Amino acid sequence: MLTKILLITLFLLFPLFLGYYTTFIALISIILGILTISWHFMEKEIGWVSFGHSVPFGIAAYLLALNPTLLFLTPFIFLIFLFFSFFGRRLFPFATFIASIALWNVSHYFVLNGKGGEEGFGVPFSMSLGNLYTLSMALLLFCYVFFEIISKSNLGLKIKAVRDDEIAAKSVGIDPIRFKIVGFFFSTTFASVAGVLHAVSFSHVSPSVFSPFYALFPFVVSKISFDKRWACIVGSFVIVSLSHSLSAFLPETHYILYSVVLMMIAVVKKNAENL
Amino acid sequence: MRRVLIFVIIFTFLISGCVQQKEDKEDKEIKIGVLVPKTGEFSSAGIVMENAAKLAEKHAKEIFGVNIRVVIADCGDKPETAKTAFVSLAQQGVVAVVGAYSSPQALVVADTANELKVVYIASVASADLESKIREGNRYVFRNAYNTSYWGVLAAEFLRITNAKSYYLIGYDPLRTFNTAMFILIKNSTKAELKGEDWFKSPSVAPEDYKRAVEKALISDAEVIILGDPGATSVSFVREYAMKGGKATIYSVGGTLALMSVLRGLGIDNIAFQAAAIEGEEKTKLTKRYFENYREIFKEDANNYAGLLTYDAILIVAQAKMKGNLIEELEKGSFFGAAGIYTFENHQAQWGSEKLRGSIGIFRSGKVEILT
Amino acid sequence: MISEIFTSAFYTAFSISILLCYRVGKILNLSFASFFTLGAYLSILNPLLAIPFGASAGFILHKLTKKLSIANATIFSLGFAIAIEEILRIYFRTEYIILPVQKITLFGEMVVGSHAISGLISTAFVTIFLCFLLSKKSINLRVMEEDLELAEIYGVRTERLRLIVLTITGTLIAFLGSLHNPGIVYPTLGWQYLIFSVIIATLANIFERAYLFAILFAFVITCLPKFF
Repeated sequence: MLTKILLITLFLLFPLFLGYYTTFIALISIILGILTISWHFMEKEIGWVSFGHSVPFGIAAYLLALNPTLLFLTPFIFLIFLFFSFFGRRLFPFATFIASIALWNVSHYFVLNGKGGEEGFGVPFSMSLGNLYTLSMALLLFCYVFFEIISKSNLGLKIKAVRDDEIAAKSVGIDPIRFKIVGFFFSTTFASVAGVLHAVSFSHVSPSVFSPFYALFPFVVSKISFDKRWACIVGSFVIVSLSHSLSAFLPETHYILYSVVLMMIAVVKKNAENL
Repeated sequence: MRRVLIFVIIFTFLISGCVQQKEDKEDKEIKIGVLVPKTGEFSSAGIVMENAAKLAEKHAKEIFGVNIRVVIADCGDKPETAKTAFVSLAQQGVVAVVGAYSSPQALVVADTANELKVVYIASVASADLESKIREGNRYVFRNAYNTSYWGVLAAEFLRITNAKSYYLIGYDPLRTFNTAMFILIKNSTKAELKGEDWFKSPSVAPEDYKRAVEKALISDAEVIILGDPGATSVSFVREYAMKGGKATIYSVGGTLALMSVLRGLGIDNIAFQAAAIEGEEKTKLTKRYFENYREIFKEDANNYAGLLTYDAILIVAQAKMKGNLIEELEKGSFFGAAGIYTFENHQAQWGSEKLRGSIGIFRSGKVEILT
Repeated sequence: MISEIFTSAFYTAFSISILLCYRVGKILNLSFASFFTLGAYLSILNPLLAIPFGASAGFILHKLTKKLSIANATIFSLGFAIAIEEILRIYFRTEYIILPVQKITLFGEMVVGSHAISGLISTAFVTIFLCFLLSKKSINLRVMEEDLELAEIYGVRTERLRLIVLTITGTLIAFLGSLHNPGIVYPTLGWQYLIFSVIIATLANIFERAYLFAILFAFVITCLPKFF
């Protein structure tokens, strides 16, 4: 694990020396990397596939923009997921996806003193890019190490036991609800952290934080990353680079390139799995 | 070891992708960045904005003798992609950036302009940029309308046509913009308000305009004011005409201000606002814009998003020619196809003698210019 | 009311197509958004062109995703959707295309002619599909829905069945796109119909008899805005 952390740190430090633009692209990748890792934990360790991680991500961003003191509510966002979990694993992805679409639309009605709506809200404070990058990097590393440790700990084993078979887990004295709550809490809290960082980095929050792009992003990145936690960080860089960084260099064709890579990755990944 | 090797290869690939090639060539041309929504929800508008930008590049040389080069960047449909594109343009050494489409995009880009000290002219969005300017952001200007001017024009239309009653139909995803506009209309007209309705986003209710049509028909108003500049307004108008609606439709523009759309629909009494309408000669550029656009791109010129992007580029070219960009923009006046621009508190003075929006109405296959 | 019935039929067909692809084809087919748009663009020339193009797109999608897991196939379909959308945008390079519409009167109500045809085609598709479901021949489909490996053990030609599902639904969506479009065409047109239909399909998927519930939900959700 130490080698991985060292390599990731090196990987994340390098963009800091490559100018504003590269640092900015890397910052977005890092923030979405945190979102992806939190999603990955939910899927791999807890066994629930969410298509609505834009919900904690977006809610936290909105809370920060409305009033930073409201951020105390973010630890309770897991309750939304807990509620959807009662529909069962098969319907959970769809229920969360509908929730994200619903919030995407409802957020157009968030109006306070004539401000908000489709325009969104400004974030009351800002940070320099360097500081924000360093903070985000530290949080990504913390998030990565945290989930690595958790997944190998006693707690992680209990969460996995609930994932594999709730009845069997119950029979050996593990309370499934309790460990599901703990797992959801960890995952949504880090997704909220990503949302807060996202809001600060753009100094603005608008309904697009709930858009299908953010709902599907962690899923796409996680799947192209061979379900490896460390690879989620690299995957996040790949997808952000393709979807964001070429917009000014290949404005006509960058999205086609993005689509081709998406298709190729899906096929190549399958072939690689078969090796 | 293999993992490390893979990691190094990916790392090198990504970094090489992110690092931009530095241009050794020192050229004398003025580089102006243009944020165009080439992909995503607003990609239809992106095409005309790009065409207009290319035309502005040509006209800057021919008319003002300024050698400019427009650098197009895809700003997508999200504020995040707009900011990335803006930063990328700034890195390429543009003197100013114009464009972006939606309000959130303009707001995020305005902050970035201030951070990177690069002038930004919002040429489409009517977002609340005033608050940014009040907070001391000197780098953001707008040559597009602000929200209240949309309302002013709609109220003017009611006055010109002596309408006795009107009905408001807003578009949910643009609730803030529409609400502000509607308040201004209500406060500025003596015509009777017959009711107010909103249709929902097509993502959650694609056929909701049909319900809005039913209610509009019952209202029996003389004028229906439509707050949706997008494609759903076309569906609304079609359905309304099909169900026998007789009211004049006044649109905020956008899709229903396009000649190709109006001709394709073939429905009379659709009024719309535009920055300028073909046939007007607000300045020496107006006719040239419309004519050359058709010659080059083989279609009718766009009369708001495209035209104002064209104007914004020429404004930057003229200001840069005179000297310090910000100072010149703050105190100077500039020719555009929509009129002569002066900026007060960084907002183009729409409604002034030399810069007025136009209202046209489509009747019998032609557009009649009302103002 | 006629208009609502046709619209409900259209959304039923769309959401059943999504459900079929998901339950039988093991793919959340996001390409439908672009199939619909492709059909709408092709209707500029001739709506019938949507049939071969839709079938080809469905066939290609099947060929390229047949060995992929649900997740990978879904990612592929997203890439495929973006690629089609971008090709259409670059090829047509125009703001909006307005299509002529013909009005017809049915039972005293004026409706768009092509929407009526789309409604009838959708109704026909749903009826045939429900009849098929009630027949004994649907057993292969049901087994495949339940368990792909088990279906293969029982000798169900799963690949062939998947090919049929993806090709037929691809054809249907593209054809519906050429008929049920709002008369104004632009590259992102199909997404709003897809998102709405995914919502219906999701709600229907909660129940065991998902296809029947898709009919119910399509009708309820289509009529719902009337009350708000």
